[in-house]
Amino acid sequence: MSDREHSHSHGPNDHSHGPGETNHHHHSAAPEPSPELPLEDSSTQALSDALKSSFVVVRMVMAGLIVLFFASGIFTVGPQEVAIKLLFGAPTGSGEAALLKPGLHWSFPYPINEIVKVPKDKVHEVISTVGWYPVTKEQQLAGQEPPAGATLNPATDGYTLTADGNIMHVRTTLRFTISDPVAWEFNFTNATELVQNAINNSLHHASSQFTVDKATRQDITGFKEKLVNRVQALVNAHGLGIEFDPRSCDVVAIPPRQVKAAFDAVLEAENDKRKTINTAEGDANTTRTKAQAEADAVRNAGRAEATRILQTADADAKYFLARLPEFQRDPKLFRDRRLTETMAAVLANAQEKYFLVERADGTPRELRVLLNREPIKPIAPKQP
Amino acid sequence: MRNPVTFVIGLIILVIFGSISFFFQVRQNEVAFLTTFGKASDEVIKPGLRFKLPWPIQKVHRFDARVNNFEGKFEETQTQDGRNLMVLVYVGWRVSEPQKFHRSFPGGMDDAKRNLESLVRSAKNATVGQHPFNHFINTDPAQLKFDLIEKEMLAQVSGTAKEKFGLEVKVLGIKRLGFPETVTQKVFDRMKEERQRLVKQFEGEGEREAAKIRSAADRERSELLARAEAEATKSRGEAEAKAAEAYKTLERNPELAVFLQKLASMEAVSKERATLILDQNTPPFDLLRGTNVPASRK
Repeated sequence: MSDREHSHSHGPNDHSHGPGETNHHHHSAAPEPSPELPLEDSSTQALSDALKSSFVVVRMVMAGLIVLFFASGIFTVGPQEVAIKLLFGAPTGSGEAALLKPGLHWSFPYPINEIVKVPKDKVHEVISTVGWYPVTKEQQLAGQEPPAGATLNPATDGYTLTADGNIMHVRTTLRFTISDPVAWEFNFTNATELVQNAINNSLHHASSQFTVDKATRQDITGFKEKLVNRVQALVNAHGLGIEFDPRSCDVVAIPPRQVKAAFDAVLEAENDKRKTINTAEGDANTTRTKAQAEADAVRNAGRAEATRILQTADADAKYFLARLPEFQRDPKLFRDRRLTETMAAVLANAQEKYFLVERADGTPRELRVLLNREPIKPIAPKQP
Repeated sequence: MRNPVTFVIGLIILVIFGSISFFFQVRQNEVAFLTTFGKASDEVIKPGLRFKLPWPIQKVHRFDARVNNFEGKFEETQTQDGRNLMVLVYVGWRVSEPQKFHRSFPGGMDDAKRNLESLVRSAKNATVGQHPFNHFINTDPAQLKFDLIEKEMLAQVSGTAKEKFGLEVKVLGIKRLGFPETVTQKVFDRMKEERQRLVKQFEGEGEREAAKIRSAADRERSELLARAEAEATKSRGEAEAKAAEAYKTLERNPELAVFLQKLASMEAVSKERATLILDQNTPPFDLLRGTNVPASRK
C-alpha cells in the first residue's frame, strides 16, 4: 500500500518532469538556432527560460515548505513532563491513553493537532499565609519579624479563629504533583489558586474545631491531620487532579505574638507542675523503698524475737533442770547463795546506791525522795 | 491541466478557505454555541471539529469553560446572635450554558464578576445571619456547622447563578474568618486572663497531685509496716506458744522457777541507770544488821 502511495506521490513529479525534459530537449536544440528564426522567437525563448527557472525555484520552495510543515510537528517531551495531544481541540484519548510520555514525538501541526505540555512530575509548592502576619521577603531572609501591634488589622494581618473563640496564626506549605494532567490543564483557569484556597479553607475549618492550646501545643499532630484531611477532601471534591503526601505538608500553628508572654508563663507553670509531680513521685518512691526496708526490719525483728523467746525458754528450762537438784537438796542455802550472788551483780550495775543505816532505837527512818526525770539545770545569772 | 503546481496550490487554498468557512474547532477548555442569522441554537457544542455554515449564515460564539476563581470582600456581617464577624468567601465558577451567559452578560466576564459578587455577598449575609456564632467555631463537632454554612451559601448562589446567568458554581468555601480590628484587642485581653487562670490551675494541680502521690506512698508505708508488725507479732506468738511447752518443765518446782525468775528480773532492772536505796534488811547488807546498836549505845 505504501509502495503504491509512494509511486503515486511520485506521479506528479514524474509528470512535472515531462515539461522539463521537453524544455530540456528544446534547450538542447537552442545552441543551433535556425538563422531564419525571427527576433520575437528569441525573446519568447528567453522568457520561457526565465519562467522555467522560476518554476524550478517555486517547486523547490514548495518542497521545502512541505518538508518544513511536516518537520514542524516534531517535538520532545521533557523528563518531568507529559504531553496531551489534541486533535481538532479534543484529547485523542482518555486517562493515560491521552498522555504522551517523555521522548521524541510527532504530530500534525496546528490546527490539526495541538500539543499541550504539563509538568506532571514536577513538585509544586503552595504556601498559604492567609492565617499568618505579614512578613516581607527581606524580613523572612533576615529571620526578622515585623513588630506586633496592639490589634490585628484585617486588611494586613492574617489569623484564624479557634474553637474557644481565640485567635492564632497558622501557616501551611503543601507540596504536590499533578495526577490528572487533563483536568489540571483544561478544567481550571488557575488551578494553583484553587489549591491555595482549599488550604486556606482548611486552615479555618481545622482551627474552628481546636482550642488554641490544643492546636499550638497539646495536639499538634491531630490539628495537622484534621487540616490535611480537609485539604484532601476538597481536592477530591473539586477534581483538581493533584496528589500529595500528607507527610510533606508543613503546618505551623502559634499563638498571637501579642500574648506570647502569657503563653510562655503557662508553659512555665506546666513545666513547674510536672517538676512538682516528678519530685513528689521521687519522694513517694523513696518512702516506698524505705517502708519496704522498715517492714523487712520489723519482720526480721519479729523473727529474731521469736527465736530469742524459744531459745530463752529452752535455756531457762535447761537452767531450771540443772539447778533443781541443788535446790531440792537445800532450798534455803540455795536461795541465800543465789540471792547474794545476784545482789552483788545488781549492786555492781546500779548507778547510784544509798545505804540507810537502821536507827539505833529500831524505828524506821523517814526517807524523802525528790524524783525528777532530768536533772534541774542551773539558772543562768541575769545579764546586767 | 496545464500547470499541476498551480492546481495543487489552488486546491490547498480552496481547502483552507473551505475549512475555515465550513468547519470550526472547539478546544477542550471551551464551550460554544452557534447562531443562525443571529438566532442562537439550543445545542451546547462540545470539544472537537464541528461543521457550520459559512458566515454570515452561522456564527460561532465560544467561551472559556474552565473553572474561574472569584472571591468577594473580607467584610463585616452579623451572626444570628448579634456578633460581628468578618467573612471572606471564595467561589469557583464556570460557564455551563453559553447561550444564557451570552444573553445575560453582553459585556463579558467583567459583567459576570460584578453580578456574581453581588450574588455572593447577599448569600453570605443571609446565611451568616441565620447562624449563631458558635456554629462557626466549636469544640463539639455536632455543634459545628461550618460545612452546613458553606453548603447553604453554595445552594443560594448556585441556584440563582444557573437559573439567571447560565453559570455553574462548582466551588464555594470560606477563605477567611475574623473579628473586627477593635475586637481583637479584647480577645487578646481575654486570652491573657485565661492564661493567668491556667497558670494558677497548673500550680494548684501540681501541688494537689504531689500531695496525693505523697499521701498514697505514706498510706502504702503504713499498710506495709502494719503487715510486717502483724507478721512479727504472729512469729512471736508462735514462738511463745512453743516456749510454753518448754516452760512446762518449770511446773516441776514452781517455787524454784519463780525464785530464779525474780533473780533474773532484778538483775535486768538494775542495768538501766538504777538508783538503789538499801537498808540492812537487804542481803548482803543484812550482815550489818545489829552492828550499829552497840555503837549507838556507847
